[in-house]
Formats: sequence, structure tokens, C-alpha cells
Amino acid sequence: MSEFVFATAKYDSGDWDASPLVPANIIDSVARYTEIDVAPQGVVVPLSSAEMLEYPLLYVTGHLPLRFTDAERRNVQKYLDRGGMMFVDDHNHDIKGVFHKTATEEITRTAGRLVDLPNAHELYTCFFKFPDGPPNTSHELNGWGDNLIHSHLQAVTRAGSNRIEVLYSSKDYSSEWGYHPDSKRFNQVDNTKFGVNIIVYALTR
Amino acid sequence: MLGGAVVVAALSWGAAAALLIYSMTGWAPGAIGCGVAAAAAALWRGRHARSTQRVALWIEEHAPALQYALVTAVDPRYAGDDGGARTEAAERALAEARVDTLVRRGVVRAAGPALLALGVALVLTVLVPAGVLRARLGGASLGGSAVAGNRLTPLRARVTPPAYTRWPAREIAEPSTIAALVGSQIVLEGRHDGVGVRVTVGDDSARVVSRDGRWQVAFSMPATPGAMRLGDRQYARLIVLQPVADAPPTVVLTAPVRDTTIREPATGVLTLAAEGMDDIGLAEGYFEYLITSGEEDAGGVQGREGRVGRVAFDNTKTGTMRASLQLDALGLKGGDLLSVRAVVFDGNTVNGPGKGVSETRTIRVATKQEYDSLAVNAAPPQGVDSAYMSQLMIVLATKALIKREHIKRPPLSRDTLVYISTRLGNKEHTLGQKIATILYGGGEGSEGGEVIPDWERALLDTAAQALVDAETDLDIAQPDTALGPELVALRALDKARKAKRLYLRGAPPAIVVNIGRVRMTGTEKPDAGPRTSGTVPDTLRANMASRFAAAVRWLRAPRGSIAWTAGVDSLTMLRVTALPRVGTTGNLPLAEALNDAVVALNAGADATPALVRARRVITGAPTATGTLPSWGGP
Repeated sequence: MSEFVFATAKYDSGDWDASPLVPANIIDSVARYTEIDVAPQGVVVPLSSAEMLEYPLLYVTGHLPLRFTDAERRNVQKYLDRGGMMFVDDHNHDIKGVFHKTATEEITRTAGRLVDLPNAHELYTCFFKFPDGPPNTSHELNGWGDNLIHSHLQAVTRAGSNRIEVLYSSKDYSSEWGYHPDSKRFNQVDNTKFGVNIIVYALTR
Repeated sequence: MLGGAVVVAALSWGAAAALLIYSMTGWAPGAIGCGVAAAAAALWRGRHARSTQRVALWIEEHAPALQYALVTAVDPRYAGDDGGARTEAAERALAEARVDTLVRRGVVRAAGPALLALGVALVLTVLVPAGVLRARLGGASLGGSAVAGNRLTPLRARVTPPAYTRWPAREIAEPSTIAALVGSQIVLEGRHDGVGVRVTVGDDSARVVSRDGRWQVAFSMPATPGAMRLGDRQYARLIVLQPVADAPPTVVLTAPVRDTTIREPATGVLTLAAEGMDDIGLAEGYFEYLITSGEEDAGGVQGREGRVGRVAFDNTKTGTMRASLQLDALGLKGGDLLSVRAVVFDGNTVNGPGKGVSETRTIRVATKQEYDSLAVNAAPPQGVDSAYMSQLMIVLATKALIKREHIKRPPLSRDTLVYISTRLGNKEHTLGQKIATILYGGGEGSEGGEVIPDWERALLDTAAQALVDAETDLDIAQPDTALGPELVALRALDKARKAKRLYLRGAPPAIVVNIGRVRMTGTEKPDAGPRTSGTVPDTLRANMASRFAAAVRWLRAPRGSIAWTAGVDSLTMLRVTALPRVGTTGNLPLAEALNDAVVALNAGADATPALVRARRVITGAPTATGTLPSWGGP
């Protein structure tokens, strides 16, 4: 079995590279808590390239409008049809912002309607347990962002099953996890645990 | 004989009444009730035929010549008094009075009208569909079925497309498939009255009405493919409903042709142009713009949007949109992003309107400070940069030393001059080594290994040579002569550093996680919940294969049998599954193959080639693979 490679999606619009430290941090956490054979470095893969079909999970983030080109949209549809999973995170930690508006519109157009993911979903129990649903981020808790805690993540699930195709977050995990993995030792509680759940879910469900 | 005639007449009247009532109302229980009542009435009316005395009186009444001989002969009161003589007298009188003819006439009078009524009722029942009277009077549904021929053939469908298409209505004779735009009004019409005709569209029953001696059912074309089931007594028929989706319009932004960056202040006019297309007709379109301002680190990104250039297309299949944006009026500031795209809508009022959007073009307004550089992250100076700075400092120090040397007061001692000059020479030596490291690699923090272009190598060689010359002069305390080579080296380094400057955003650090070091060192304990079972992949294809196999098994039964008909209907329903639904492409090759098979089967032709084609589409041709496929390659 080939090793898991964390892939950051590169798209034509917006700032796809807004969180360059997240991949290394999540890779570090996957290695810390699991025996998943993980590559030590992430890759950047253009959504317009068929290369993106080779990765089971794609991480999409940004602050600016997210609009797919025709080629990107075709590839994403093919990717999801083949069982791939996308994790889309709004880096703005706000509500109704430009990324949120355009990304949700684009996801709906490309993959289907986003609905609130129940907090009892298997995503929250597949490795670490999160009984209250998605963990909150410091941006939500300190009120610096929208001063609003998003109670749910949203998702597009595969027709006929509960399997997540697109996981959408307004909680700005990209900021929460955007630090050097060596700094993790200063955290009393590892806030990247939920990232491990996403990886485990994408690989095993 | 008279009693039998009464029974036959009663049964005939009852049957005739039942058939007549049934043909008029179509209500079987009512018809049977009426028949029983009529038969009972006839029996009651002819009940006296069982009484010998009443029959004798009836004969005496119609044959006066008997002069009561028959009545007296059958009267029990006179049975003992010379009965034999009276009987003989009665028989003679009966023979003379031709009573046989009288009785036959009575039988015909009793049973004839009844049999005639029965015949008429039978003829009416055969010629007139059940319930015609109720239909004429608009009575309530009472159920029942026709005894006329199959009312499910021939059929005629009238398809009226949605009004927004402005397409004319069309008729389809004997349809096996009705393909029409979603929302089209369809009227299906058959012969005779519609009482007892059952029609379901999908899972819903459709209302059958009778008009001008024909039955009709009206419905809208659903959004998903389905089957229309028709039933009339033992007859049944399936019609496939194939909805045709109104494709959303498309639009191509022809101006601006590419993303661009403009300088602050943003002024002028931005010309917008787009070409829209639709399969039926465009309704309207406009340009949409979105201005995003601010930065993440400065409190977040804000957006504002607007629309310009709205155009009404009047249902044309193609349309051009043009508009312009006054950049001054948009109040763009440095760092803002202006995104524009074209949006068009079709006139679909049924399940639309369909929306088409173009690709987005982005116009960025550069800030005044970033005309020549976009660097935002501090980065250590490049090696040539630091060499230039070092050389500049040495040049300044050399100039100061020369100045001190030429100023007589206070005089500069020879030892001091040699000391300072030698120290500067050592610095030039160090700098020369640094340049050599850049050129040939080696040493900590060097740029060794970099591919140095020839032009840069030439400049650095010049600088290195000049540094050696300057060092030599400084080592013998001749700063005046050292200044020349120093300046040559300074100019060469300046040229090299300026030519090599890269105006890039600071690159993110490339972090390579040491997997071996961190593996399983996490202190948090996982607590995974039970794993739910996954779904069987491609269940749709497996389901189709199973249904197809079952249908083919049924087709082995004799043609026209119930099993054979079920097989044909199963293929028809499988075709419904294969037809495209909104947002999906369906399996058109399979749908076409199944249609060919059904047509061939109904026509009594060989359906094998079409069935083989269908099976091949479902199960796929067997292929050999050398190795297991990767996770999800293209």
C-alpha cells in the first residue's frame, strides 16, 4: 500500500497557498498518533491537472473568492465520483464572507447541496472523540473574528450513503493549525487532533 | 310446458335486465340486482302455471267449446263419481278444441318477449362500452370494466411544450415513448369511454375523463424518467416518459480577455463583453462584479458587489452583452481586487431559470509601494548583497584613511597607517574568500551548488580580482592606490546584486517532518468509535445486471404469455432507469439498446442483437489487466 500524501489543492482564483504550515502540522500529527504510512512532506496539486486524482484527500483553503475554471470543475466532479474527499476551509473565520459565498456556491454547483453535518457523525468519532461536534478554534472563542461559534461543519455526502465527499468548514482551521509542528509541544491540548480524524475518515470510510 | 315457459321467460327477463343495466351504468352489482328482481317478478307473475286448476281454467277461458269439461275433469271434488267417463269426455273435447295449439301459443307469448329482450340486451352490450349512459350523464365513478375491445390501442398523445419555449404543440400516434421537455403538457387520448380505464403516471393515479366518445388523460412531463401504466380490464400497456431537460445557458466572457494588474489610482473604463448561448432561448443577462478589499492580517477581507449591463434577450438562442465599468466610480484602492464575470439566464419558468456564469477575470490594483516589489516577508540578504555592503564599508573606511593621511594635523603615524591599512586589507581578503565561495561553493551558509549564470560569474570574477589588487595595496599601506580596485570591485558587486535581485514574495519554509522522530509520540489518547459498514460500490450497475438477467429469463416463456409480457415490461422499466436524470448523463447506450430490444420483441423480430448489446453495456466487455489498479488514477 502506498503512503498517504497530504495534498493541498491549487486553484486559479484566490490565494490557495494561504496556509503553508498546515500540511506539515497535520502530517506531524498523523505520525504522532497513528501508524498510517505518511509522506514527510505535502504536495501542491493543481485542480486543473489530472494529477489531483491520485490523492484521497484534498485540502482547499483561502481568503479570496473561490471559483473553479471549467477544467477544475470537471476534475473535481470526476475526483468526487471516484471516491475522493475534499476538505474546504474558509480562512477568513467570518460569516457570509467572499470565500464563504463563492466557495459554497461553487461546491453546490460542482458537487451538490451542502447540509449541516450532524455532530454525531462518524467523522467525530472515527479516531479521537469529539462528542460536541467540530472543535472550536481560538478565533471563534476570542471574538477576534466573527465572534460567533459555528456549531456545525457542512458537507456534501455521497448519494445513497452517508460518506462525506466535501467537508466544508467556516471555523478557519487553517489559522488554528498554521504553525510549525515543533511548536506543538507548547500546546497544553493538541488542537490538530481533529485534523487526524479527517485523515483517518478519508482513508478508512 | 307452461311452467317451463315461465321459468325460461323469467331467466331471460332477468338476464336482459342485468345486461341492459350493466351496459348503461357499468355497475355490476346493480345490474345483477336488477336482473334478479326482474326474474323474480316474472316468476311471481307466472306462479299460477304450477296450479292444474288455474291452468285448466286458463284453457277453458281460451277454448269455450270445452264447456267446462276440462275443469270438471281436474276438479278433485268429482274424482270419485264416474271419473273415468268424465276424463274420456274431457279428452275428446280437448282434441276437438285443439288445445295443443293454444298452449304453444301461450308458451310463445310468455317466453318470446323475454328472449327477444335478452337478444337485444346482448347486442347492446357487445356494441356499446360499459357505462356509456353514466358517462353521458356525468355520473359518479362506480368502477367496472368495458366489454368492448381493447381501449388502450390505438392511442394518440398531444404534447404541448411549456409556454416559455414558444414551440408549437405536436402529436404522437401510438406512442411507446413520449420524449418532451420537463413541464410539457401531455394529453393522451384513446377510443371509447374511459370508465374502467386506469392510468398511473409514476406513482400517482391520473384522472381519466371521457369527452366526445373518447377517453383522455392529461398530465405534465415529470422531471425524472418514468413509466406510465395503463390498464383496461385484462389489457395493460406501458409508455415510457422520457423528460428532456432544458440545459442551462452558457456564457463566455470575451472582454477583458485576461487577468491584469493596474496601478493606483485606478481610473479609466473597463470594457466588458460576453457571448451567451442557450438550447432554447436566453431571457436576460448581466455582468456581475465583486470588489474585495483588505487583508487577513488587517482585520479581514471585505467584499462588495454589483451588477451592470443588464440585457433582455427575447428568447434568442445566442446573445451578446456589452457594458463598461467606470473604475473611478468604483472607488478602488491599492490592494483591491476587482472580479468580473458574466451571468445569463434562460426563460425556463418550469424548473428554472437556468443560470450560466462565465469564468472570472480579476483586475488587481497595485499599491504605490509595490510597483517594483511584492516582497512581504523579511528574508536574509543574498550573499552578493552582503558582499556589496561589506565592500562599501571598506571603501568608505579607505577614503577616511586617505583623508587622514593627507591631513597634516594631527599627523598620522606610519605605524597607525600600516595598522589600519593592513586591517582593511584583511577585510578585503575575507571578502574575497566570500566571493570565491559564492563562485565555487563550500563553506557554511554559502550559496554553493547554485548555478551561477555566466554574466554574474564574469562580474564576480572582476570583483574578486579587484579585491586581490586592493588587498595587495592595502597590505603595503598604499590606500591611495587601493581605492581604485576597491571601487572596481564595488561596481561589479553592485551590478551583480542588482541583476540578481528577485522580486518575489517570501517563500514559505519547506518543512519536512521527521516522521521517525515523532512517530507515535503523541500524548493524546484516541478513542475511536465503531466503524459503520460501507456501501457496496456500484450498486446501481449490480442492480441493473440483476434485473436484466431476470427479464431475459422471463423472455424464454412463449411469446404472448404472462411471463413473456412481464419480461418485456421489465426491459421497458429498466430503460426508464437508464434514461438520464437532471444533472446526470444516465446510460444512453443502454437505454437505446433496451429500446431496440423492446421494439423487436413487440414486432416479433429477433431481439438477440439488441439484448447482447444491452448486456455488454451493463456488464462491460471482459478486459485483462496486468496489475491491480492504483487508488484512483486518471
